[in-house]
Amino acid sequence: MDADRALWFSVWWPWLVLWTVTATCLSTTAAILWVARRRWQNPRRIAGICYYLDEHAVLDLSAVYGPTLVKEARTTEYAVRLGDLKTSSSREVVRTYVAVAEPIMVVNSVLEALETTDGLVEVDLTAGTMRVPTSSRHGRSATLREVDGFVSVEGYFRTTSRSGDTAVLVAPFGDPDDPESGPRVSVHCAVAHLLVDPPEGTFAARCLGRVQAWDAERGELTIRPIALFA
Amino acid sequence: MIVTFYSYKGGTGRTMALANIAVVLARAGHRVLAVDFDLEAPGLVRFYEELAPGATAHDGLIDLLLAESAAPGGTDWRDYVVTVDGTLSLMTSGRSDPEYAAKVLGFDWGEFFAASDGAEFFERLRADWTDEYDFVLVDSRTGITDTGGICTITLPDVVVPVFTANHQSVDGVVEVVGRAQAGRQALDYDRPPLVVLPLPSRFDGRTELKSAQVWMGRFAEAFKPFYADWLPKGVRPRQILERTKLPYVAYFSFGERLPVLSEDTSDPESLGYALRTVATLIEGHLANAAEVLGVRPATEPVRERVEEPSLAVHRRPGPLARIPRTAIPTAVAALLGVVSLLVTNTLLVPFASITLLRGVGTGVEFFADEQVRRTLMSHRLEVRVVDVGSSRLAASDVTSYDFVLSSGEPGTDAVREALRQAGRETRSTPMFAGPLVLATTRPYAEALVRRGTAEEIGEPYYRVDLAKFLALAQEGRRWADLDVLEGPGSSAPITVHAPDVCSSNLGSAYLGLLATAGNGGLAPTRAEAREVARSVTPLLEPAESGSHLTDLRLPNAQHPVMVVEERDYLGHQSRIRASTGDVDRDLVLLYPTPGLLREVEVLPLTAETGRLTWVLADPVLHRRAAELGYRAPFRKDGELRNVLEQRGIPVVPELSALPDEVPLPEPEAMRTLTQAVGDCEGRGGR
Repeated sequence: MDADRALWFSVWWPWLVLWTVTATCLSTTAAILWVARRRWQNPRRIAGICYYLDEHAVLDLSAVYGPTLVKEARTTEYAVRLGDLKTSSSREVVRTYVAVAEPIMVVNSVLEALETTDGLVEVDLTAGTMRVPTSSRHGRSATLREVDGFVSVEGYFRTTSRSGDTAVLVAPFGDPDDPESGPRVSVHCAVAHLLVDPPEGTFAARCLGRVQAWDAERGELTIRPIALFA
Repeated sequence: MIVTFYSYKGGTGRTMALANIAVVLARAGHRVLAVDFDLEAPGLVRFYEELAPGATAHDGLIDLLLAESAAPGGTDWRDYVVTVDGTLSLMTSGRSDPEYAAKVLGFDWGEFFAASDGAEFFERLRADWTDEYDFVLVDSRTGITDTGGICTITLPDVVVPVFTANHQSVDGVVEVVGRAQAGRQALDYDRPPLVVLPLPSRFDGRTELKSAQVWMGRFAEAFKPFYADWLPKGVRPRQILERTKLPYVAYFSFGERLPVLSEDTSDPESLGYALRTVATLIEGHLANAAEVLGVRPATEPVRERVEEPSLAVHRRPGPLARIPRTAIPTAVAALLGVVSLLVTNTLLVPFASITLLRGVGTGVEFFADEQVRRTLMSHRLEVRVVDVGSSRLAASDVTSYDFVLSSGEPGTDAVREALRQAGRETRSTPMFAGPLVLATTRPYAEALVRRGTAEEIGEPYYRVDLAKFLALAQEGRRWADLDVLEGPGSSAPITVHAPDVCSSNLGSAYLGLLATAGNGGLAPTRAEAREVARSVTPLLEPAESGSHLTDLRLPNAQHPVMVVEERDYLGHQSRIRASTGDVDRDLVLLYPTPGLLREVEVLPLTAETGRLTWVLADPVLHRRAAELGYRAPFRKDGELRNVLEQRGIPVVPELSALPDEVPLPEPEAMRTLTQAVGDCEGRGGR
């Protein structure tokens, strides 16, 4: 003898409606979050030209941010497994080779590693803004020389001198009528690490590096570059 | 001031520039000495052939050096100088004769410096020249040579590197001049730093405009460090380069000419103009660059300190801020939904099972009520009760049911006894209660009052003494004998119409009560039962065979007094009140003395029934029971009184105001009574 389903439905239908709406909302929320999570997990990739790359600095970074860099490098690594026949139980030897990545891939890896560990401040010189990690101690405004960690400075660069073993590139703060006057950022690139000659005239680029010093007389902030790319 | 003109490569127009500038300076009244130090490729004298035709026959620099080498300290350099024009003097490279080349090649610079103290000689020479001339212009050898070192490091105050627009020329000049400045620092003598005035030459800026711009930029970049020594703030290297560059003029590329004399030097694009500009700079010891360019002289002695610009700080969104806005409404809705479902314990509603309980017994009306069914279903419970008569209940096979619903009739005890014998001890749960009542119309009740058989206990309720009432019937009286009654029923004998004692629990309960009342208030034993049954029959008019509990049982002309359920009376009054706005005032209730409170109770047979007894505590069901006219068990009838007050129906007497119950006959005695009165078996019942 079955229960009276009609009576059950007539009593419970409001709860069934609530249940259905709740389930729909839950699954919709889950779907939105899932899509968003995928987006967070695939950070922005920069596809462009790497003009300058200080490989020694990148190696130093790898030592500190190693796990993250290796994780990123996993796409380009391959393993060789060798069975060791000398012992009765076979031992697996795994060797990992990191293939030589394209310079821009290295830059991406470094940026991602720094971003993941909240070690990067992104600066837009033209807009006069900097994006700092959530946990940063900075107030509503700050100067670049107050930044301790690494900076990614975006601006309009131009080569001002290239003599001997150093090429000097500068980019103005803001968007002045005369870029040659007024405060600016100065990047001293070792010619040995230049991969491609920077274009003549002004060009938009990003410089990853560390802030060194502000020269108040010259109105110039020196940045030690790790990479310059556009 | 000693100024050396130097070029890394030949053919730059260096000597031409020197010759012209010397003329300009001399014409300006300065004492000028032009020295041709380019011994291997002399040519300065050619420019002055017209002004000083005999100069080539005069002794020159190589002759001076040879004489000094032969007799150190015994020479006078003045003997080797020839006057060209007014204040302009010239020291040629040497007497122009067939031995010239041999003299130059034969001169040993090493020995000159080692044995003849050449360095000292040049120091003396420099001191003398500086004293006696305002400007000494030295035409230096090209490339990197010993004499070049004397010209660019030892002698000069200013070096004028002359170069053309090609990398060899520019890079070579930068290299040599850079080394000269470094060499100058390493000199034994105390000498001010070497000042450098770069001079682009043979520059064709008119036809190759774009290339000219590019090369001007390169010049500015390459010579920037040299300009930094003397160019005032506010003047860019590019500006001074543009003004001093020596344009390429085809005319002057033929032969040795002096454009400063032959050309109009007021045209800014002319060679003469550029040469005059350079001469003016030299004349002003390079301190007049701003003036020469016509720009405002920089008067900013102290560089202004610039504050580093502040940047607006934006924080990277944290994990919470990264949640898409679109997810918030659905998340909130989902959260509210889940909380509601949790609070109401309905999270699993689509999957929840319904417990179906099957019962058997009497008093099933409550479970047939639609609202009760819905309330039970809200507890996921469905209850179906099979209605059997009280007498049949005792004999029914109840084992296939979940519970027994009883109204306190003797049959229940039989069931309980049967279960006990089967080893299934069970405790019943009372659900509600209701007193056994007699319904009649007001005249009959009033007649009984007048007779002293009944008394009013609150409109429209009366208490009737069942023993006295029975006595009236036993005497065979008719209602008319109570002398107040008229109408159709008045001629009928005094009796009480009761439901069938075989099938109706109510009927058998009335019989039991009546038997006890007729037996002096004591429940008759089985032995007394038959006798007592006979004595009480006058006050018990059984219903017709087949009459059923659900029949509307209200007094009428044929049956003026009836045994009814209290709730049937209250239900009737509710309906009347709802339809007419007032209760049926003619219809009254008689509460018999002794009384009988009939409790409806659940006798669980299975574990699932435990849920039913728990659910029955739901206030909604209590309220509904009251609405249906049931009193709560344990003499708690407050809910019913509330309902009646709300409905405007006279509130029934409290149970406490009613007479005490009396024990009903034992089951065996009861069975005998029923048989005697109803002949149940004879009618096919059991």
